[in-house]
Amino acid sequence: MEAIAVQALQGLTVGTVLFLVAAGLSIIWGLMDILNFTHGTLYALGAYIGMVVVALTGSFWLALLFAFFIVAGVGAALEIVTLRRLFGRDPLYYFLLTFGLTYVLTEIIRIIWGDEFQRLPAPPDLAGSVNLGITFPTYRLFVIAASVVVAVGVWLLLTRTSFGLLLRAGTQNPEMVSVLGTNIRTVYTLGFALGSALAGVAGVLVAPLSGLSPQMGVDLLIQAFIVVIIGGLGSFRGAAVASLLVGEINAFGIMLAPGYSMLLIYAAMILVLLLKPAGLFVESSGREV
Amino acid sequence: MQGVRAIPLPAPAQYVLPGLMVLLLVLVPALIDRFLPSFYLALATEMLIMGLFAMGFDLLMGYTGMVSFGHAAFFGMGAYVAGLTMLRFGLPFLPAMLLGILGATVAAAFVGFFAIRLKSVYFALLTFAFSQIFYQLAITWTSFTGGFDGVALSMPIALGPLNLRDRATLYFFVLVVVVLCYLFARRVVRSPFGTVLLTVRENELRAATLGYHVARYKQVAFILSGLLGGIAGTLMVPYQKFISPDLLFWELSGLVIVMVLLGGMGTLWGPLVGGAVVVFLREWLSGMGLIGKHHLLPLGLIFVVLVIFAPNGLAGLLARRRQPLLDDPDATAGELATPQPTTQPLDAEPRL
Repeated sequence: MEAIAVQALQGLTVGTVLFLVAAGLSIIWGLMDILNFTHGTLYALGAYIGMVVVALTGSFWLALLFAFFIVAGVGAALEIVTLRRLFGRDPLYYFLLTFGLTYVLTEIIRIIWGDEFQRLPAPPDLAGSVNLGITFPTYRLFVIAASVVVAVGVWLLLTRTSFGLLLRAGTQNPEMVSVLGTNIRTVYTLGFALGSALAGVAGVLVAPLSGLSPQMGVDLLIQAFIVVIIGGLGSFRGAAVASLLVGEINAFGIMLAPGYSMLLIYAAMILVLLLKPAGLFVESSGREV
Repeated sequence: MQGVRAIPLPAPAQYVLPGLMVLLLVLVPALIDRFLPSFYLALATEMLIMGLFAMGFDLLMGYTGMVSFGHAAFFGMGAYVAGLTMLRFGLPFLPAMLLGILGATVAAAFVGFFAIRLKSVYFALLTFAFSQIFYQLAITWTSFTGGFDGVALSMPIALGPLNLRDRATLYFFVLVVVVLCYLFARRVVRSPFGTVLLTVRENELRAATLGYHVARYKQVAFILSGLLGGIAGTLMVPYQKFISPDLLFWELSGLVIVMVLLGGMGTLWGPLVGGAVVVFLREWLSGMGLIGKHHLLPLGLIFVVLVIFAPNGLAGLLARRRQPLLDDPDATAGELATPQPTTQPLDAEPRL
């Protein structure tokens, strides 16, 4: 019984972090039709930036903050320098371009920080474990809480601010946004930056659990793809449900049938693509954020 | 949208350039033997194999406009079936190779059956998911496939009297297979069937309106492409004498897209060259000290520049510079592959 509860909490940890990554992917897809392959590398970049900031200042909070803004800046730069040139072409070209960018960024990370596996210790206040009837590492609970806070923050940003309004408007009808006098290109750049920043924060949060390596984003990216497919490309709510689902399948799959849990997830992805390619939580007619 | 310009060269001239190419390729072992270490012969063999893989993928990506992100599945399937039937059941190379090709073809028929229902990014993701299932099976079913580490093939690999463990013999064998496959693929794209594929790529609705069973054409294109990929995969068995999950991994699926883009999609010979160039670049760059350790950086940059500035690849650059080549139907096909230029309005309706 206790093993099951621990595994469920484990799944929740993975799921909430996965949500941050997938939500970023989803915002970018909804807004610009870009399936961003670089997302996993931006996640790794966030983790490394977090490591550097912790080493310099000793503050985990500053690490989260810096990762957010620096990765947002990198995302904005990528968008302005490369992706912007492809507007109007088939969305597939974005996918190919970001595939190439992934190689470039990963190599840059390897050049700066090397290939060796590195560690970022959890902040001392959050080390150890708590007893909730079951003993569970405090830091994992913190990851769950922090992810939820960030997710709620993004949700409020999207629904309650004028910037969020612009993002949602740009998702639904970019032409109308332009006609009404807003530079849609700027909205795109900011949207891409926001999505990237979420990946960066997720990277810092996960780093104390998984450690850091230049390839750390690859597996997570694949899972985030699966989440956005199941939840529906461009759907915030869908991403939330699907990431918890995938997180739990993973956690229990590892316990019950290691190796085969990924098969199950790929099979789910294929079924959703075939039966409801727009995702489970998107009406076939429109998009939502 | 331009019409299909099918102005064939006079029959003899049509064969001069490819003929010269083949002659040159036949001379390669002698040249390497004279001027370079024999390692380069192995490199030349791999360049041919990857060229074949990319050329087969061009049938799907270049001629039919369907960009799969899981084509390594069929390449790996060919290699795995051929390698494992030799290892586990003691088959000689030829039947193992034929079984490998059959396995890849059946797998392509199966995946294609589902995949052709989707388009663009969704098609790419579905093929990706299928290929990852093959990959997961390969790394999970350790007792049969060797799992993560793969398996070494230490048995003799021969084709009748030909010992394929000999580098030069293998090179000529691969060359013959590649030339035959090129002739086959060229026959396919120049047939009425190939013309319909181009129509599907340019305007699927119109093809359907004209009465063509579009889904069937897509399915056949998918199978043919998987078949050629499978043939290339089986050639990895005598080349590498080793099979590992890398042959099924999505990175290879991405790399083959790079090869086709680099060479110029929709030209057959372009991707053939593109595959060879990518293999050569990887080998060449990785031998260069600091750059070598990070050779994916220049490779990635080349790819990024290509996607942005030259989506028609080397063939596109050549066709633009040398006007006469435009009369070659192959080159014309390359021109047709031009995606809509970026002069479109900024906020054009996203096309799926």
